[in-house]
Amino acid sequence: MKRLTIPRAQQLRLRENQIFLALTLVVGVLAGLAAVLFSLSIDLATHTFFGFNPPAWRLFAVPAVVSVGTGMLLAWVFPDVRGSGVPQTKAAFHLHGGIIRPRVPIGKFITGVLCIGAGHSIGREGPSVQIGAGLASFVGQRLGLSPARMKDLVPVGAAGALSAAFNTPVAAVLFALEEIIGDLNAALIGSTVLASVAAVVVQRSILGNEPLFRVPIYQLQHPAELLAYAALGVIGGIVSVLFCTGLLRLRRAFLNLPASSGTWHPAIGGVGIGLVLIFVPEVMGVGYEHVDQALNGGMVLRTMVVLGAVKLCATIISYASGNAGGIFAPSLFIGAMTGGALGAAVNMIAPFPTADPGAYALVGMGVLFAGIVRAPMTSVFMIFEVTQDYQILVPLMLANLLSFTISRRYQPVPLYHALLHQDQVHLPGGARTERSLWTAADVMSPALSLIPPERTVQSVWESGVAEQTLAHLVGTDGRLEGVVTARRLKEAVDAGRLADAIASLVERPVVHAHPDHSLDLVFERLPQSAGMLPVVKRDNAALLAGVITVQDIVAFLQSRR
Amino acid sequence: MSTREVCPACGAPLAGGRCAACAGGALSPFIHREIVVLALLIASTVFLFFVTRAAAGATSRLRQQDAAAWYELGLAQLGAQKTEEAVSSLGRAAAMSRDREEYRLASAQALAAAGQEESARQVLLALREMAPESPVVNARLARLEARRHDLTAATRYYQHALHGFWNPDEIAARRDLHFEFIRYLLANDQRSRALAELLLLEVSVPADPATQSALASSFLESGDPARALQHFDRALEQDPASPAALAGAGEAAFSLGEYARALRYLRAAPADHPRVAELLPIVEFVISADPLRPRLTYRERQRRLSRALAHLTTRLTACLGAPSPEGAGSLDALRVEVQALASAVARNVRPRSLNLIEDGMELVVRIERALPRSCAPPGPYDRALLLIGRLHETNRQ
Repeated sequence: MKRLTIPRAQQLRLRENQIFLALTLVVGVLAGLAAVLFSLSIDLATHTFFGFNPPAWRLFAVPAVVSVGTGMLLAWVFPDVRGSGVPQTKAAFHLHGGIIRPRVPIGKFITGVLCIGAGHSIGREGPSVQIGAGLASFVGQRLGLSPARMKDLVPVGAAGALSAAFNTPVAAVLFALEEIIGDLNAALIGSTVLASVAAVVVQRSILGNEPLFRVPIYQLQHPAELLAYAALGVIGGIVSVLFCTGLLRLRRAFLNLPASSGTWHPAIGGVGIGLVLIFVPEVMGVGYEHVDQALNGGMVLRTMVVLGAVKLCATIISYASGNAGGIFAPSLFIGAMTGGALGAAVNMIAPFPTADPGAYALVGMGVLFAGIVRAPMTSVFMIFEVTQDYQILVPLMLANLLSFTISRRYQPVPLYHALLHQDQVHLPGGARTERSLWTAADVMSPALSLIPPERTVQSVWESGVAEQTLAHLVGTDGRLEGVVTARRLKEAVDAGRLADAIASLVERPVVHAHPDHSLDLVFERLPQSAGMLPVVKRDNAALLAGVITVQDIVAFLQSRR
Repeated sequence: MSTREVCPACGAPLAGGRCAACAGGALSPFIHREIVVLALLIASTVFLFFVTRAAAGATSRLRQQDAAAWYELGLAQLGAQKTEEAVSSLGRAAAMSRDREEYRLASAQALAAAGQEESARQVLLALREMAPESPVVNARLARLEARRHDLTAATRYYQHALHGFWNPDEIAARRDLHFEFIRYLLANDQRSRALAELLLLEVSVPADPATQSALASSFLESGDPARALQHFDRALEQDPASPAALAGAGEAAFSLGEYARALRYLRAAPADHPRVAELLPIVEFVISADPLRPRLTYRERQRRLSRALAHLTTRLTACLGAPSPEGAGSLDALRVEVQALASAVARNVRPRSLNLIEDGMELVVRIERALPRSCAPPGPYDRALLLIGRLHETNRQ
């Protein structure tokens, strides 16, 4: 018999999974390099456009003139690259099977460099995410990957790009999972981690192993300081809502203009930004130098208040007018200024020892990020990665939670989703997220009376209950023994088992739910339960807490409208 | 048994000598499209890496240039008292070029000038984390803590600065900082610690008159007039006309009770020097008004004591004439005692008794000490009488 051997050539063949693993690394490196090059190109463009300490006329003219050119590019050559890039990346992942046209990353790179380099108050991380995802998609398309793998490459590229752009590999992974995929338990966690690490290694090998911000070690000076951080959370939440509302309204106003004017929207924004820059040039571009200053206590109170307020307005103008750039960096900038200003005020008036304003600026960054981008886990880990200090986590989590809650209360649709809605794109994530918060306890109706197990089949049948319900709950004193379906009861009557105890018809195991189970699980189990799902307590599964029927769910959903 | 033909690349069965599975992807049995694309990707990535690195180098140089320009601008703004603008410019320079210590130091200086002392402190502490032995950073921190009236922290940072890493060409700067530290201690009434620092400094101080004078002044202020006089003398050896050294030496000699020596120095010093104007009349009175001074005739002793008693009678009378004088009863009793002694001294021609003079001086000192300050401020003559009394008390002991 001929001995079967694996040919050497066969060993060379790469299966799709292996290709994907290799691709993860390559895409991570590629996305990281693209993000670094993007960032460097913005710096070079800014320097070329403005030089050092530019005069007022130049501050006005550069954004206005350059935006005319970028407006034409965005209207005629790269129509898919306006704005941040994160919503488009989410749409590509959820709706287009991970397919991003090759011209998107190229267009995003060019227009992003021009818009941000020309002084628009927008960030580089969103575009980096789209560039990374676009490159990943391009590579996947060239390799002819399966649709599922194609789709998987998008968050991998996004994580790699963000990791290099912000030098925070863990936060980048979380952002890809939380924001792009919309599921922190996604199976892609390994690939995103690999890409993120590869990207950050490349980034550090080029730019050096230095964090994006220098942050001294801060700590909670006094327990009462938590109140100040809570106030920061509340203020941050309000500022986030103001930002989102303002941005969406102005963008809506631009979208309502005649379609033919679309070419000139970025130029209108450019004129607006030019006017702003004449008076407050610090809000130009990404502005991380100023964030760094605020984090290190290098700014006075008045400056921080002015910069925070003006940056908010400038970002709204730049973004709403359709320029290519993100809101990631502006949200950090506004947060740092808001937090720093509050910290400086607390320093002056608090009767207890307080941390330096820089500590508040740091927490403020996370607070605004949680409020605007609505990625609370990412925001916490991002700040933790920046500081590498556990001490700041407690105030950070408290403030983030408050900001997130306020933002969600007054701006129910997350900003990226709302932006897509304005473009008539509806992602699947938003509604599901809300529904997943509902539990069986929200839906169930109070427990019906239980049928004593010793009652005969005949007495139950003759009581007429059988005609009113799909199933009968059997038990005593609130203790559920089992469920008898109407069909089974009828079969027993037809079989002449009228004298039998109803307990003899009980079906086991009893399909049930607990009060804290999600509505998704209720939907899954209801069909298995003959139309009446008993809800039993967790600490004693024999005790009935309530029941759920289809009518209960319908009534609940109607009440939520 | 028939052997099936299989694809050498993937092992799939061949149909008509061709592999259906590999038909689209294989360039040859050994080279697949995936490998080629991956290889091209890796090559592109390597190329992009070098492009990016070159761009990073160019950007870094531009940033350094910009940072230097912001630094210059910030310093100019700081010089023009535009502190808020200076904070912004210098902070920007520091953020753009993080490894330049001087940018961050200037940023801290601007922050402190703008009243943001806590922020300045944070900047300096961050710098100190990187260079714990930096004399400049520690000295700045010390000054900041001194402004915040934190004596312990300021002392700690001054000592860190002094014991930090100094270049051999920075000896003068270190000495100046040591002097600054001593002045800070003296200003905060830490005379014994200041004296300890002075003793450390003394061994390394050069002999030039200015430094010797500065050292002597510090010794004098920290309560060691003997060492002070020694260093003032060294200064005067090289510059006998040094006004500061002459005035200081006079004061040191005065503090040591060497009034004749003090008089010599003070008379040589410029009269408009504030300490000279204050001390010279006192010293002159101490020498000219002391009735117990050796080698005086009895008549001269009588004259000096009588003058002192007459002066005190006038002061007591003026004091008692003031509305609701403090301790009027005891002052009146003292006046009676003075008048009685004055007439006794005037009468005491034969036999000449030195005890009377001594008793008289004791009474003079007692009255000078008893006179309330609210009554009339003591003049140079009063201070001289007290010093004379103290001098003879010491001699008796």
